[in-house]
Amino acid sequence: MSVASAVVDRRREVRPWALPGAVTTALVAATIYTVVRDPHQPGFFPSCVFLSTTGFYCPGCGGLRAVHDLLTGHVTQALHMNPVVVLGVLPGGLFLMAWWLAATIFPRVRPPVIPTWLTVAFPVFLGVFWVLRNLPALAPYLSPVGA
Amino acid sequence: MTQFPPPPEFGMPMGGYSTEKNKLGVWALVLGIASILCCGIFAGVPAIITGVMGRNAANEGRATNGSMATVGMVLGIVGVGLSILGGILAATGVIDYSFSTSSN
Repeated sequence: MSVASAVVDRRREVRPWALPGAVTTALVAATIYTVVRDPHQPGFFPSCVFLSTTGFYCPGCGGLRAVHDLLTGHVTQALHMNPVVVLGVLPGGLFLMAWWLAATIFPRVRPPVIPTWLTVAFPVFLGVFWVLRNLPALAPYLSPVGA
Repeated sequence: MTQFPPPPEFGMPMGGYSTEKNKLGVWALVLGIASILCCGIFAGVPAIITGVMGRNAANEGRATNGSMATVGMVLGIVGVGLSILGGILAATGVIDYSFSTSSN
């Protein structure tokens, strides 16, 4: 173990809240910004590089608008923007964050464990979604086209 | 005289293998997915770094999730590659990358 990582490990023992606290604060601040600044309107958020480059939607396109719509009560519109972010990434991310914070607070809770099959299955699923949402027949249901 | 096993290294829990560095693989995977979904190079570079560190830790027996670290590293490489491609095309004027419309 290097000296640097030993120092970091010692800091984690002294201040176990540092990293989870910083990540939580950043996510909450970004979420508040996404609620008060409408990503449907131009000017507040950068556009997707992949969409600008290729004209195709990436798996995350519509994600910020989905978060905004969800937290302002427009659930159907949120699902229309990006169903995978609404039904997959947000619940999964919140679950992982809650698990991580619980493990930080309660020493008896083990740190988050992600099953191996999921680490392969979810990226593959994202790749399939990437293709499907750009097919003309499915784009009205899976992408923010026309919105 | 009874043979005692060697004392465990500092920070290593008792047992056959260690999950001490498994958090590196989790970070690599989360950051790799983030680099694909939204954040490109900004999440992709940390994903590659934590992915390589997680793979090394797995090889040294200090982590058990080497495949998770590998997936995170690959996702980070894809995210960084797409970001660099977009950056080159924007710099050469092939695409008009502007802040005028949000598409994320």
